[in-house]
Amino acid sequence: MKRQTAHIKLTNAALWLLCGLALLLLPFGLSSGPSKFVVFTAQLVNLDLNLSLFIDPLSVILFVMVTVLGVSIGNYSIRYLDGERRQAYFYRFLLWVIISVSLLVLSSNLLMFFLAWWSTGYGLNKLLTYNQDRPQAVLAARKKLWISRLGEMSLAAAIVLTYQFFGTLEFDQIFAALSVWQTGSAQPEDYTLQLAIIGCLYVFTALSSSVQFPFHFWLPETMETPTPVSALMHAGVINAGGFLVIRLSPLLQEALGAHVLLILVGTLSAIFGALCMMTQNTIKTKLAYSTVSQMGMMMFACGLGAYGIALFHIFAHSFYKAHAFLSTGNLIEETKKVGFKLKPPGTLLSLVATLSTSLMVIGGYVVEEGAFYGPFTYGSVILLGLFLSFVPVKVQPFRLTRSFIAICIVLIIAGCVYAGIEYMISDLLSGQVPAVSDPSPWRSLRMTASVIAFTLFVGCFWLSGSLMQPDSLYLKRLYVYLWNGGYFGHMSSRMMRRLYPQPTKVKRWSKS
Amino acid sequence: MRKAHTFTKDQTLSASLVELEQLIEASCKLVAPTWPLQHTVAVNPFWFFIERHYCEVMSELASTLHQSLHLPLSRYQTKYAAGDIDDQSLAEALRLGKQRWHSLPENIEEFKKLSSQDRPFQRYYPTFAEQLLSSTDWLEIIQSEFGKVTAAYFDEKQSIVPFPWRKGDFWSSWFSLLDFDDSMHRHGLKSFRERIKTFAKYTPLEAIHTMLESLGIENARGRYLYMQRLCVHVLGWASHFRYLEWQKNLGYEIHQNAQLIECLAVRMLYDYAVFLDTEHRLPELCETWVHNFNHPQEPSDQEASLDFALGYIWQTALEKAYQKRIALKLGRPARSEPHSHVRGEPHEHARGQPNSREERSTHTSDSPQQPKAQCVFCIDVRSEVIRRHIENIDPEIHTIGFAGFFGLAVEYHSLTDQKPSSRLPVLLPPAVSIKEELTDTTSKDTASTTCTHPHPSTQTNPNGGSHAHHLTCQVDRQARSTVTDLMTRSYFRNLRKAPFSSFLFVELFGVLSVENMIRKTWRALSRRIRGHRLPNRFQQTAQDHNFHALLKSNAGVSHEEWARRLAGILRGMGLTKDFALTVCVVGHGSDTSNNAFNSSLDCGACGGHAGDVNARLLASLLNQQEIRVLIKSQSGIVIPHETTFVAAVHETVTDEIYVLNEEGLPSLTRNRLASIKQTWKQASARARAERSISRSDVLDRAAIRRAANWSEVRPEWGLAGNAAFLVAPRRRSVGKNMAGRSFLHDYDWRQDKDFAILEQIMTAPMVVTNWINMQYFASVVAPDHFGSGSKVLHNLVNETGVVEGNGGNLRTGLPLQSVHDGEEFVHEPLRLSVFIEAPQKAIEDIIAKHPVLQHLIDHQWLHVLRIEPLEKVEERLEPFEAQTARISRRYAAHDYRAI
Repeated sequence: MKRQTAHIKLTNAALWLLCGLALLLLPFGLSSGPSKFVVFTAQLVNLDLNLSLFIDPLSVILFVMVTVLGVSIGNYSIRYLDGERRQAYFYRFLLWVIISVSLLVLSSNLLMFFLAWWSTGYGLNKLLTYNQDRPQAVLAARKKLWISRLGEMSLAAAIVLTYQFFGTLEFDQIFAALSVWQTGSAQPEDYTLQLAIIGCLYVFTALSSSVQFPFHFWLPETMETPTPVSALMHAGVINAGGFLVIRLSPLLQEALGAHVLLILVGTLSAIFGALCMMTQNTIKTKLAYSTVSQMGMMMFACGLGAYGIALFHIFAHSFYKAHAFLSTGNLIEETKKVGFKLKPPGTLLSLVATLSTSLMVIGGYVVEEGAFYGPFTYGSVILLGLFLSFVPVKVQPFRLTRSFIAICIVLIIAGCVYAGIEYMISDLLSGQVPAVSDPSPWRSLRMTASVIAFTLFVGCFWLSGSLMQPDSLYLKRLYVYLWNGGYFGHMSSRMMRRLYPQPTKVKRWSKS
Repeated sequence: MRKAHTFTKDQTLSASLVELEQLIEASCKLVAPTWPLQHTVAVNPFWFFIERHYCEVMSELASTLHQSLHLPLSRYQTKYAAGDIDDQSLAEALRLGKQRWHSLPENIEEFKKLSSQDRPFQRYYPTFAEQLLSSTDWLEIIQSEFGKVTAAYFDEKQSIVPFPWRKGDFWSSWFSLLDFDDSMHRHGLKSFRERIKTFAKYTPLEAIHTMLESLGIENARGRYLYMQRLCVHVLGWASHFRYLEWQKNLGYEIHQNAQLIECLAVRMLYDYAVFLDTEHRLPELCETWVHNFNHPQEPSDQEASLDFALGYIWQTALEKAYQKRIALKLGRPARSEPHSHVRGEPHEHARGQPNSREERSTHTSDSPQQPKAQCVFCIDVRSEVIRRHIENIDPEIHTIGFAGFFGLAVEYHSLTDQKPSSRLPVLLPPAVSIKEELTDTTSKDTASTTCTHPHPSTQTNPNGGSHAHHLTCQVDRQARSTVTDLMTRSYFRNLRKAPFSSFLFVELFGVLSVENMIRKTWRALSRRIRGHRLPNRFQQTAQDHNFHALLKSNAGVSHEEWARRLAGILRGMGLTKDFALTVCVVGHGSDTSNNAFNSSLDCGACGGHAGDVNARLLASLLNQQEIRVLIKSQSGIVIPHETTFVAAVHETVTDEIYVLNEEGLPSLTRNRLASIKQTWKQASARARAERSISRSDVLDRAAIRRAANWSEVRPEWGLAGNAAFLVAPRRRSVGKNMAGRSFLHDYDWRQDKDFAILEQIMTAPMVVTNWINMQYFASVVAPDHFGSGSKVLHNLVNETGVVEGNGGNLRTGLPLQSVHDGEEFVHEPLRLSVFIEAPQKAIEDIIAKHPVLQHLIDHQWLHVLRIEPLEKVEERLEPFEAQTARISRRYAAHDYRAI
């Protein structure tokens, strides 16, 4: 039996090679500042065509992440997809996507970035239509395609405008120009307006590609592809929007509205995703909505100017989600075991949560004259999750003290480690992204947005508590709405059906 | 269900409702129960059809399911060319077929020509949405909408927000939801709510009646076919309804009041709504569709089912050829391998000299028949392989086949488990309920044993006991820390699941997934280095001495009662004398990673759990001296003082056998076990080698990697290949390679005075094997309907089942990867051939006593063949011609009587 083994082995070897390369680059990228490897260069009229790699902590961290994921998924699929007719096809486009994303994070100029962006979308589309004979798979891929096109168009427009404005597409040159202008000297005409337009276009691209509300609806419908594709998509590909924002953060820092957009849309997605997740009955759909909400949090962090946190979030979430997808089979075994039961936080606990986190936010605005309001706000949103109560199930008589102590110790240690990592990352990124405390011209606007966002989060916290017992008419209505994912899927399916009328079905029965 | 106030108490109406109810019941026979994945068991998907003949049902289902329920004819041709079907069998099958379908050709050449290609079926009965030629695939929408609501209604665990209307019955819940749910409207069916709302005032039965009247389907058979087709699209969820009814009938407590008729009524509502929406636009189409149902093909139409006949005859020929091969094998002397040896025969005294001192010393006490050890295995087809290898390696070890729950219908609630697990065949209610419990940490007293009646309605327990006894037993300190660990972990698992806290979880612990992924990827490797170790799942928290404690208490089951039951079990095993010094009770279970379908590889007789608990319980009970005394006084079975019962478990991915609770055994037994374990080890290696290539060559060759690999979709082939069930003394089959396709149950009719044991075998294990066999059969011939689809697309729903991809219908049956190697099916679908060695009259009497058996056998859901019991064993070794002649084919005599 021919099993496409050669193909699979070669692809896996290539993935390992990439991973090795990434790990080799890691110490180099982390220790030294941004540097450029020019692989190939050419001149087209007055446009420099550079194929060069931009090595800095941001790009190497993500490069390592992507290639490690590639190796894991590649290794996983050897047995998982064994016997599948299109296993070789899967490997071909797995490699395609991994290389594209690698080039995306390593690109040193916007043209290369755009090409890598497009090629990632292409590869993903191929993977989404792995099961061509399943109409639902094709439908979801089409939805995704339309949203990708939207993002690509706005990205292209943004790049053209950037070139017009800066006269270059190289990241380092753009950032250099910006740092000069930031001081106020020799600012070109329409500086604010131009940057606002460019910035918002980039943000739009990022939001649409990173499954932000309302561009998320295709994601929960992609379960018609094999699990490794889901893992790759949720872990690797949809982070591209986040990377775009972090990479262009010096530019976005100057752009009016960009951060407000990020904060508000991010918050909305985080809330919407989290609430939808609570109502889903299938594991993969639940994971998909969880991705929507996590991507929202990442955008929220970006909007707050906490790029280090956002980067770490990408990193942590990628591995978490890939692992979650690949290990869904364990769920059955897990459910057999005893454990605490989830319980909605009571009114008192919710009050305590609200007060303590609000205090923390206020603290953020007071400490160092609000220089660190970003991390403080983000941290307080994260902390809301701690106020979760639980009830033990049927292990009586049994003392829970030891469990409690263990939980507390683990949480404290994890919290300390987390703080340490965040500090380290912000240290690493200094120079590439604006510092958290960097005074941006639109700071007060961003602060207002973040207060609104925090209020929304707290409101959602209360809502999610009461949603766990949907008794009132209003809650029932909300439940059904969220359970249907806001009907976005329904409506988009209908639209797609109009756009792509199905060929008349073959009659499978006869009149008599 | 609500009362119908709106209906006038019209006599004719109520009469037609009664008639309709019967029709509904008949059409819902398509729906067999399905068990949650936590403890899935094989189910015969045609179980409710057994009252009708196989041919009748299958040819009817072919037009309902829109597909043949046999293999494609080309596959049979291939098998014929390969020699799997011989001319004689084909001719025989054709001759039988001709009695029913007179227009079939006389000779096989013509028949082969006739079946050179599959012919398309002529009559289908699609639902309305299905045949509607529109750009919107309404069937798919209905399936996903229906699946969505049903999933939410039954969901207890997956969704954090409970379905607000899960308390009521399904019908009224569905209408409550209708006020809120805009889905159909958004899909483009604007009038859905208004049109359907009016049905809320009816009962499901009345609603179905009204809809059928309104659709204009008047023909009873048309109605029947329509409703059956409606069930097809929601078969999985309907099976869940059926499951709840099944469990309720067995006396389990079911919280939800959901009835199958509600499922059908709601399903019909969707179709009806689409019909109403289309009626005025495409009246012609609607008319044609209704016409199709009002003029259905009658079941008696011989010509129409001729297409079915071709497949059926080939299928029968394939089965006959297989039976012939088995008969040949059974009639022939065992292969004379150097160490192969037919045991138990009087003229055979080639037993090796006892090699250990203990053995020699005990030999004096017993007859020369006494073997070194007796191992009781499950009747599972996988046991056949390892039993054969054990006996080949050491003929001194005898093996016995017995249903894997070892006769102990026990419901066991482990301390680490959330719910009690019923470790018994699903046909029975539990008789004993054991619960591990932690006693108060401050006091150090021993077991606290209580007796309650968890299932008040199990009063009519056929399994001996009058009611279920609830026992508790204490566990040790180590278990305490295991539970602490589990609870701690569950807290973090909850963090992951809930909104907000999932943000916290990802930030704090998300990165640890890297480590997790690497660890899981390399676990397979580390397992290879460490070698075979008792898998975690067999490490029980309760120690055997706690089972002893069960007996000490006066509550629960009395000693006399235990002794009575145990004696029955021993008799069933044929273990009434000649006990070996070591009697191993070997349950089985499968150890796999990241496999939602793990329980489908476990012991079917234990209700989809591993058989370890039953083995431990049996061994520890039989090791009690006071019990042995009671057994002796009650039933005269003398278990020698030196005999020790040892519990073990056969792990079926790696084919390793692990001794359970070895440290609790006396040292003498441990010494004796050493050489037995050596044999087991060798046998395991051979069985592993055999089983990894027995069905197809695509399995990962390293079995231990299959067990530990989290990306493995084919850890083992499970019961694939099963085709025969041999009820005979082991000496009939010893040394004969049954290729892992045969269930083996030890049975010696000479020991069975009133044939009570045979009756037990035929009514319990034979039915279970039929369920397993038909599940595999259906998963292969109709994987779209009775298989659960591809594992790579599986999406767990409600934490109890799977849907494929985006969802819709719950999938039941076996996943594709369990029966298919990527190129072709590895399971050859054959109806079970049961070979029974017993006198004709005894078999006939038992069949006459049990309607279920009559249905199964007379309607050809399985074949029963009789092996002529011979007084003189030597005569057994005659040429196979004579032997096959002696195997009377019961089904031939009754073949077409039923219809």
